[in-house]
Amino acid sequence: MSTMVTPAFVFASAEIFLSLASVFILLVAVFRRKGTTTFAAWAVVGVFSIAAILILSNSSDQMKTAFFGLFITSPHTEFVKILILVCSALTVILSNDYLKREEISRFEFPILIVFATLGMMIIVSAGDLITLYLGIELQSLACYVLVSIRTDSFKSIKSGFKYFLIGLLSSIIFLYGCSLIYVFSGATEFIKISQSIDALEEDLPIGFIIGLIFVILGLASKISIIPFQTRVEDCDKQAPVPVTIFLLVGPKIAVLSLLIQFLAGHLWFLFDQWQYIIIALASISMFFPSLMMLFEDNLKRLFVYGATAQTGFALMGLATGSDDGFSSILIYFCIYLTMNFGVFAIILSMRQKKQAVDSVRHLAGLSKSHPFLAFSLLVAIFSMAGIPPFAGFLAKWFILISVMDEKLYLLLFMGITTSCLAAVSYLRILKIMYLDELSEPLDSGISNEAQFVIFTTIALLLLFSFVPDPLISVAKAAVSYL
Amino acid sequence: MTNDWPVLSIVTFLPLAGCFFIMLTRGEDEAVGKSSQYIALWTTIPTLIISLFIWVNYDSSLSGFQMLEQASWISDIGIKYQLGIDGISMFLIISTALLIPICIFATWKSIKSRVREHMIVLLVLETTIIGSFCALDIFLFVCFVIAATIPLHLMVGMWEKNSRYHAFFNFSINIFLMFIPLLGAVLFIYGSKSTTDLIILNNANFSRNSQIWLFIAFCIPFMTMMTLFPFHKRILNKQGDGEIGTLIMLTCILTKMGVYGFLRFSIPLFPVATNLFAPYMLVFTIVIAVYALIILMIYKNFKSFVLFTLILQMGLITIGVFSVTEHGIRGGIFMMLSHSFVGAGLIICMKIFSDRLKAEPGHLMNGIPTFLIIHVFILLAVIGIPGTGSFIGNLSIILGVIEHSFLTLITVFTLFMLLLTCLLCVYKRVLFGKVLNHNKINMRDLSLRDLGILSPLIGLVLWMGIYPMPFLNVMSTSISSITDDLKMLPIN
Repeated sequence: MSTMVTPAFVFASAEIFLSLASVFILLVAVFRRKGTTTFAAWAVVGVFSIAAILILSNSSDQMKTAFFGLFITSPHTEFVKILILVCSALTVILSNDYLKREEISRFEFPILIVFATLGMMIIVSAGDLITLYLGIELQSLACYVLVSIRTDSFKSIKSGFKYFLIGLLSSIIFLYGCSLIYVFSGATEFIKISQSIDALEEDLPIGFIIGLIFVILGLASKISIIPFQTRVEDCDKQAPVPVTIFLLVGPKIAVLSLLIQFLAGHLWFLFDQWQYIIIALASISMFFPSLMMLFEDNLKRLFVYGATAQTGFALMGLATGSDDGFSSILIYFCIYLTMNFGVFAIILSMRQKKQAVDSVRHLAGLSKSHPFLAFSLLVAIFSMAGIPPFAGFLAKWFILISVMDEKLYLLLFMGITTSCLAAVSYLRILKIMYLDELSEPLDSGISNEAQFVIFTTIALLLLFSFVPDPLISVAKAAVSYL
Repeated sequence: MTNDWPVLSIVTFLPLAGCFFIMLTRGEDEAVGKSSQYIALWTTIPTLIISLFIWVNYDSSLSGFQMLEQASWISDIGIKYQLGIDGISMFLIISTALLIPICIFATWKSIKSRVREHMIVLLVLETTIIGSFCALDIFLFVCFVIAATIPLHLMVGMWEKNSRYHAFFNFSINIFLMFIPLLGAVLFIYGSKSTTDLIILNNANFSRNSQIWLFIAFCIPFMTMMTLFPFHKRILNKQGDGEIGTLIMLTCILTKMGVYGFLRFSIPLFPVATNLFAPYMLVFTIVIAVYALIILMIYKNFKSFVLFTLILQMGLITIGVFSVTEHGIRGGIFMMLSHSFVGAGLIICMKIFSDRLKAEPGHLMNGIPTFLIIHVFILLAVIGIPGTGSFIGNLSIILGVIEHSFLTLITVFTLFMLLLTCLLCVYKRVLFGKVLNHNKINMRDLSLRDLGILSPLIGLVLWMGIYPMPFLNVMSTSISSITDDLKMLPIN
């Protein structure tokens, strides 16, 4: 009996450690007098590093289940979890100084990020619909509070509440889908679901497909793929920048990797059914944000739309259903994380007369006042636009090749044109940066953390365009078990 | 000389190293500007010397690519980092390496603001252009080409007055015109042959339909680069208000990339499509040349004259290339070289007129004899007086067109004669026009720096005209390998 239980704990050791450590830090922080936020922040970063080490030390080549099938670990989930931990750690690092300057520094912020991370890791490793729901709710609840962390502003509380309501709606859709799936397959575990549906062969109940559609839509709305992007417009304007970037990167990576695991891993035989849904979702979420970006003046919203378009692009890789497609999604995740963190770290440091500003016009003439900052933004923007030879182009290239191998030509065309559309809006920023006249320079004195993040992300992006092989081989190994 | 050194990589990336050093400079604006100019000079002149080593080491009796360098870049998909040169690209590399220091010298005093960025952009441009001439992998070529458009448009936008929005707009259009066809074509090639290596692809055969589509897909970006109609507005709107660096770059070097693209990719890889399309392209370029000539006859000012002359010469080059005969292609490449030198000289003269003398040419120039002589010589070189490189180029093009058909021969010959007449009229108007009040014009003769810029250009033009054999020897094997492939195909 004891030999059966211990391996299970070992697989989930990172999550267990995270939950225990977060409670511990919370307790310590409550009773500390001074400097609680900084302590909490660095403690949390330390916790994330230990969790990452725990994941790496238990890595394996195969998919294993734990807790009677509720929990799955595989090379692919390990890869994604490390990415999520990196994302959260970077968010906490960036938030420290920013929150102090905005005077909303609270020690609950890092703790909430830990909870959200825990939720995301559970999503990634979910082996059962109930576990998946648990993870989604944990992550969403933490994020609802994070969005309205600025408690003295009415607008931010209002937007947090709106976010809560929309999240409620997506949870409802998801749960309805779950119930339909349970009714028609008789189980909530992924493995058992796939076994029972497989046994039915030709007699596939239509209710199951409807349930599946609802589940996918519920998940998609959680990561604000069109047409559920309303939360993007409102809450991302009011929420502080670290929260925006956290919401932008983390949940999307988590849910997308879950979709890979669930759809491609377990429901592989239903490929023809769900391929069309994914193609439709991908096309819509690539097309509309690229259009809306063209007229956007607010930098945060512009990059959030851009990130939505990029998520749609990554979804294209899922629609291919080939090993190449899945590994290219993983590579894309890495670069997506790096690019977005670089850009938002720069947005974070934009201040004018001690006020945080985020309009595109404030970037005018940046190349004269802050040449290196402008150069970093140039590298990140060219990466996002997908201009060779930068890293983003290579990531898009891999996805495009896998799409082409599967002969999905319409999707390919869609992908290329929407990339070019988005590229135009990104270039508009560049033009304002480099060609426009300098009217009022931004404050200098970027915080150390932001400098560190900007430097590392840009260096990684440049490094990838020259030496892409290590990352590619890791990504391929991660999906080879599927 | 040692053949173990990766000479091509050094030539390509040395300017980038200089870029890095320039980024490290600190201090007052003026001091930073001066030091960045010197650093740029100290980077580009060794690049030039190393490229001359390439010439020395080149063996003109071998066909095929020389000085190959291979490294695996993205081993997963099989994209290699592969550089190599043959007779066509070698001279283009050397002429680029020569023109960039000349550009730096020419803008020594005229760029006053943001000198450091200007030098950085120039060096990055040099890297990408030389890289695109050396690249032997289609993916690498596309990367370099698209990377070359970035600094180009930055240059246009940053240092020309009132053209910021224009630069941005051009860049966006560029994306759609160049990026999508190139990317689509490379994806298609990769999909059908699962390699982007040029050496392997040269021996591969594409089906007739895919050749036609690929030819068109490659044609659009190359024509954009060559700034032929209907894409010639890109140079025109600048109307010579801009800094000299941008003008030289645009007209002399980027246009060559377009022609080089045809010679390296379209013609060898898609011979069937080339045979099919060549007559139409020939007619098209003749029409363009006639159009440019007609505009030339309506002489508005010297600046538009210079720009349209250069367009006309580009038209002549493409006439040579698309006659797909050995003489024609040879003439085309030779004209490319002389066009870059003569064009650079012409633009520098134009700038001396507008900036220094602040006068329209057309006023008698007393007291500046050196400039007068040089200016006259360059104008004659544009026409193609025997003794200048343009003459040999024109002759070869006419020989190439003779083999093609009699009607085209008549047309091209008439073109040349009309060009001669037109240019002589301009010559008269330029040099023997109305005399202005001498006191108002700053009649300073050419400084040592100007002489230093112009003399290598003139020397090269003279050399190419009087003793062209070194140039022609190098080109001939590469050209004959191209045309042999074409001749073996039946024309359908």
